[in-house]
Amino acid sequence: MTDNFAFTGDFRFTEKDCWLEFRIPMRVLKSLINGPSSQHLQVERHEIIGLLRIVAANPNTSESDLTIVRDLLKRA
Amino acid sequence: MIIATKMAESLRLLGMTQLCLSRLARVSNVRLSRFLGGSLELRPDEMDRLAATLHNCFMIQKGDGRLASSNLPIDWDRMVVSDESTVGDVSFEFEGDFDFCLDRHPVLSVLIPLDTLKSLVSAGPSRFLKITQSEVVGLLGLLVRNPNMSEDNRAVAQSLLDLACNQGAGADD
Repeated sequence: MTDNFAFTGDFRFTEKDCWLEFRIPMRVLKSLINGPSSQHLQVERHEIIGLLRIVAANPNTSESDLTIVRDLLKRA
Repeated sequence: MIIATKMAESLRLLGMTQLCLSRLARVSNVRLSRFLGGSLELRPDEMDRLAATLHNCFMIQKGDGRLASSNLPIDWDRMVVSDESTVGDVSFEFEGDFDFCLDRHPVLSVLIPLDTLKSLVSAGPSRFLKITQSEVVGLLGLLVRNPNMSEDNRAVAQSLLDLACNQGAGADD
């Protein structure tokens, strides 16, 4: 989609995968489902990496999550 | 609701946070929260993982394998529970959930395999995750049909689904 919005979200890590939870403005959601079928949401790599850095800097992030996040950031 | 009440009681007995259970059982914390609040029915595979995780944790807490006194609390946040039944399909098929109640912005939760995430961050700067219109519309349809969906969530999901149905026929023109 060409309709950009400020990306805010969070990760919930598990053993093999994770839930990426992110907020979508209602106008963007309506634009997505109201448009042609080729419309899509696009989460950029740099947004993912930015979110990982926020999670890594959060003092409340658990040690097990930190291990996963640091491994991901090393690959970036 | 009875199962949710028992699950909340299990968390209390274990001294485990809801967030920790969501991590160990591979269930979105948003979905688990709504399940415990009685506004959402989880899928069978999610229920199986939650039940298996709680069972494993109780076995760890009470089991003979503990080296120290059984009265010492376990730091579940540092715990990794290995459950073979949760290891299997690693293909990245769209699995998600919407919550329209947390604040004024809908929250979309998408399940991403860690291997996929590793590939994404390791790749070049032009890579991205793509969530298609059909995946979002399909998810809205699932939510509307869920009998345990809260009225507020259902109303918003239905209005969006109506919008998709009304516009879908001519949208590609």
